[in-house]
Amino acid sequence: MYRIAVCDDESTICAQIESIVLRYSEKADIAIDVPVYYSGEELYKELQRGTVFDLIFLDIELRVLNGIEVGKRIREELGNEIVQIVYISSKQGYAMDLFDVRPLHFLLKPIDEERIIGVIEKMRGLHERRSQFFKFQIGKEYYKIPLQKILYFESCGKKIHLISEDEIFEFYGKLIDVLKELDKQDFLWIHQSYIVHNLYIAKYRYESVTLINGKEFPISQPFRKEVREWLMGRRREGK
Amino acid sequence: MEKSTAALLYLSGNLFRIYVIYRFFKLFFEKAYRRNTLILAAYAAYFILNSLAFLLLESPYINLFTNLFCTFLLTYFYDARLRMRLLAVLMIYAINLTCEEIIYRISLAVNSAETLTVSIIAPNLLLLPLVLSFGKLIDLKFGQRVSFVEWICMIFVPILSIFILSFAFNGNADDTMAAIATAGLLVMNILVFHLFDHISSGYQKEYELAFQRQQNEAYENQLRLQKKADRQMEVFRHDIKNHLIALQSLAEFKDNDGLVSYINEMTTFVQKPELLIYSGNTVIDSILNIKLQQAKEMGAEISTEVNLPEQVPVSPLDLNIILANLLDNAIQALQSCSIKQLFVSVTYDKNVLYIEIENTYKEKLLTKGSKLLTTKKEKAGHGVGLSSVEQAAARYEGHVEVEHTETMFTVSVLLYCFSQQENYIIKQ
Repeated sequence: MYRIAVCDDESTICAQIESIVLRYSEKADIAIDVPVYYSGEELYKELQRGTVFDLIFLDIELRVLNGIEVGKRIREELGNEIVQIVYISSKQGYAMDLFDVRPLHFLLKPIDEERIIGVIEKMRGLHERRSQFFKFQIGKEYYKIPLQKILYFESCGKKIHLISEDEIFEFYGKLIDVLKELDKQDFLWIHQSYIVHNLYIAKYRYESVTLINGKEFPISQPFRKEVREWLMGRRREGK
Repeated sequence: MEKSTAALLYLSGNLFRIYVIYRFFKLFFEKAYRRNTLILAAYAAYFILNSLAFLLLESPYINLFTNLFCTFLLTYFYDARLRMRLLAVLMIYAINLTCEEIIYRISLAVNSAETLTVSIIAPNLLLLPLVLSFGKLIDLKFGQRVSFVEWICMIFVPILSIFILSFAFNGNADDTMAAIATAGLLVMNILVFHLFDHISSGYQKEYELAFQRQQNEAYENQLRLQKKADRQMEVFRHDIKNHLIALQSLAEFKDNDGLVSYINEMTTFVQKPELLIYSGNTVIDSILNIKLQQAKEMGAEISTEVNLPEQVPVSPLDLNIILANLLDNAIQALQSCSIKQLFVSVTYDKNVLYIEIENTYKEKLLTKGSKLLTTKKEKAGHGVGLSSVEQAAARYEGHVEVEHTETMFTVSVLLYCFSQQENYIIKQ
């Protein structure tokens, strides 16, 4: 079951998107819940309450809190990287602020049904990949953690540190073996000692990557060209 | 040989050697000077100390020691770590010794008599092209163009000077004149290369200027299109009253079809038909609009995906070089196609800029005698412009990839964004 929020101060737009999504859910035969909000504050309050959304269609020109502000708060104050945001606007030409929210897409009004569906399918693909689990063993206990919670892996001697949103796990292993278990579409081996999750990367540079928490990881020389090719490849396949 | 002549020769040779060290350090330490005037004073002091040590002490070991030590001290006028400083000194000395060795061997083989010229002047003349070539190789790495003429000049002027030198001292009675001639030759080398630097930076500037002009044209075109669109909007706004009356009467008469078609007409009018791209980023908008207009006039089917911030940390000049060249190639390829399709994508994500241009093309069939040869990838749309694009991309540690199927030709470019002031070698 997916939950897709629509947030726009124009009720006609909301109704339009809602009906497109519901039509899609019938056709694709999956359950989708489509709550509608007419202001950024309403949506934000709902998120603060802990409601989980898979995708948010967010208008930028909202009355009090504009869409970019809302997006920023979702990423920074709530620390939520997982919810996909698709911006909707009647005009183009926004500053870097918008891109710092790392939206999935940007759509222009008038609403195009095909594009809405395209975005939903993209979201589904990502969701399926990210809800897979990474399994590991500490002593005699088995653990599993959903991929979307993993920020990065670090190797320290014979052990691997798994850094997730909430805690750090330590287990015996080698990065090469860890890499085999991971989806190469999302995880990147950038250094002898690091595997980083693309979801939590805020900036790519040729020699380093910076995570959303500000931490910078070097990309070692032999990996740089590969990382660049990986970026190009993903781009061609449509992220 | 008289002592004064020898001294003159030594001083000129030493001066020249120090000039070469100056050039080498300028290249080696990217973030150079603390203060320009202080540097020159330091080099002058180096020259004086060094020469005095040689002329007065006449001990080769003390000479070597003072040389190395003073060169090392010079590195403190540049911003670098200790190991880089040591490396710089070691490198220049290694190259220097190599040059001396080469000249020595050659002079033995040729049985040359003049020892002072051989041991001091010639090696330094050889040192210069080596250091300059090193510099040009660094330029190439940073995407600057180095012409064939530059290479020829860099290598042959000093080497020819060495030949001329060997004549200057061949059994010549007037040693003093020969010594002055040698000093003159060295000064000439320095002047030639200074002149050369000015000329090559001039070429580079001209090249950039050409693109600036293109960019300006694109901006002007953009402005014109926007003004036109604004004027149309003005007229529309003025007429809105009449439009509303028309709509009202259509609604009252419940003429739904009439109503819908009237509204559709208004909507198409409100769109900006000639401004194909309006992403908000003026640089991209201007270049794309002017080029896509050409494609449209050819009857091409155009689709685009432009999604980037109003300002990206990539220089407009480089964006122009990349987009203008790729689009020119694409448009040229489209000319010989019956089905003309063009797809342009410029997107930004996590500090990376992606550019993709896809177009239909016709594989030209070449004939050689009676045989039919199909084009290689290199000929189909791989214009001269592509190397400029690769150089521009290299400035951002980026990459260019060219692919093609039987019908479609695709060029993809990836750039890591950063503002050039931070990272490009500041050429002075």
